[in-house]
Amino acid sequence: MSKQYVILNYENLEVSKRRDDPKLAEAYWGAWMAYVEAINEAGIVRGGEGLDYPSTATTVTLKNGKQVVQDGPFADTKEQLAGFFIIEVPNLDVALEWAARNPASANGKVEVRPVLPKPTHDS
Amino acid sequence: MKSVELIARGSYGKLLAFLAAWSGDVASSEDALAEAFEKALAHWPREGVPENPDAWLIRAAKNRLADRFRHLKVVVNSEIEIELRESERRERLTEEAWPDERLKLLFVCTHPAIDAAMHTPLMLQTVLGLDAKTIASSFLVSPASMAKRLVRAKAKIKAARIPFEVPSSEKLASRLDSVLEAIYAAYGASWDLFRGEEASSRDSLSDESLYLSETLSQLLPNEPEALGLHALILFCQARQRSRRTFVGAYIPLEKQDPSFWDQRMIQRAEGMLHAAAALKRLGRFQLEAAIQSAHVARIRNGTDNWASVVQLYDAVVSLSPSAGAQLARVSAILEAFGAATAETQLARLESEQEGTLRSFQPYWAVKGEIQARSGLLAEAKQSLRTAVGLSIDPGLRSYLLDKIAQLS
Repeated sequence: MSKQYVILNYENLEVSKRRDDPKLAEAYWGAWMAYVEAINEAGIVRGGEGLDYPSTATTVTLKNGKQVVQDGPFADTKEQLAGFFIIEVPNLDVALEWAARNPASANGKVEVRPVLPKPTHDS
Repeated sequence: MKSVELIARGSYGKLLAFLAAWSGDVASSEDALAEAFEKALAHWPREGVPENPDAWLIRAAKNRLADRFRHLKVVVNSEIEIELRESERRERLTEEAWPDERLKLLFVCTHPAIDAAMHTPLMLQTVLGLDAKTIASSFLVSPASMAKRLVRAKAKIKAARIPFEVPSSEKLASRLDSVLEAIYAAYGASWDLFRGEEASSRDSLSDESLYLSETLSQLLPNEPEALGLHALILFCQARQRSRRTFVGAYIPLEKQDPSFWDQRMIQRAEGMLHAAAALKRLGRFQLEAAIQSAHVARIRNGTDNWASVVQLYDAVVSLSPSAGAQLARVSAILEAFGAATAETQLARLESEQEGTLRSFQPYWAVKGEIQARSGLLAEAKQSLRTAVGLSIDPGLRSYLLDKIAQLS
């Protein structure tokens, strides 16, 4: 029985900025593309995307019945969500192996979460 | 208090092994020993460290265990009372009243009735006193499930009454294998995982494995493989500082600077290997140590000895054909006999176990190297990229990325 997990890669903003640094972009993308290829090659990926800079985020809340729209991500932390993968693997141990290979594990944080099973309505 | 910590570090395994062998219950012995250390922390600073701290701790832990057993009424009371009085008397008689039961504990942890994947974690926790969290990180397992698996394994020891004994001589060889494997796996875990900010916990795991292999070689001085394993770990540890630059970049074997090696450790390793060879029973760990010895000689003197390294790997693979050993052999063949021969050998390996190799980082690294030397640059780049994608170690990742860039 396989189970789905989401791998959330939280990247340090300084590291994310390497995407556009002429000197560091090659190494940055090299590591990411190699990981993406390897995880795709394993045939376990069910979805996933990379995300634009946290500064491009917009956050919406409803406060006392009023909509509040804010520029930026909701949490002001050093590491920011930079992308995610949905994978289907036999168990958590295998998911952790892929999380460890994720380049963000070396300079940010990688969170692994089981996907909530779909609610069943058969009764 | 410093002295309690020092005693805990030096004696934990010995004390726990003694208590567990006495009670047959690892989990309760751990609890009792933890309570004894707490008691020591409260008493010793006021009353001074007792003359024989180990005996003091054993007595405190035994009292806790006895209380527990009395409470559970699982053991005949009088038996415990006699044993307790006996141990107090012995303790007054001599300092070295406690037999070293660690060897028995090692055999319990690696008993075939226990899931092989738990041998090393169990050993690290009971003999070395590492916590579940540290062990979990080393084996890339969640701390909660590692803790659960450890509890389950200890319950099994108690419920199945796995005997605390050194196997008889006819069983010793096969049972010893599991002990050696478990110690080597602990050392391997300390290498495979690069934990940037937690580098100290990696160092401590490799130190602990070295210490375990040393202990084992002292407890079983006539078992050549026990000596072989200790020699192997010594060789690897001796070169530890030459494997990385100060910023953590990976340095391949041939580029390592011998002046960073620990010469005394290498000497001890060579001595160990000689002692093992004198016992005239060859085995996998002696061979692996001999390979390390050959690497040391080659890099130090600049003499090409790859052909003999290949021969040693042939022997390793015939004894234990793991994917790691097979690939190391192919890699040595590449150095000794060139890309074409290595290619043939790799193709044979691929046809045998294609499925397992696909997610195995060393496979793609070796394949890429062979392709590069055959002039197949595009293929080499693709293989090395897969190796990058499967790497856990950022130092190794950037080393391989550099290599890909140089192929262009």
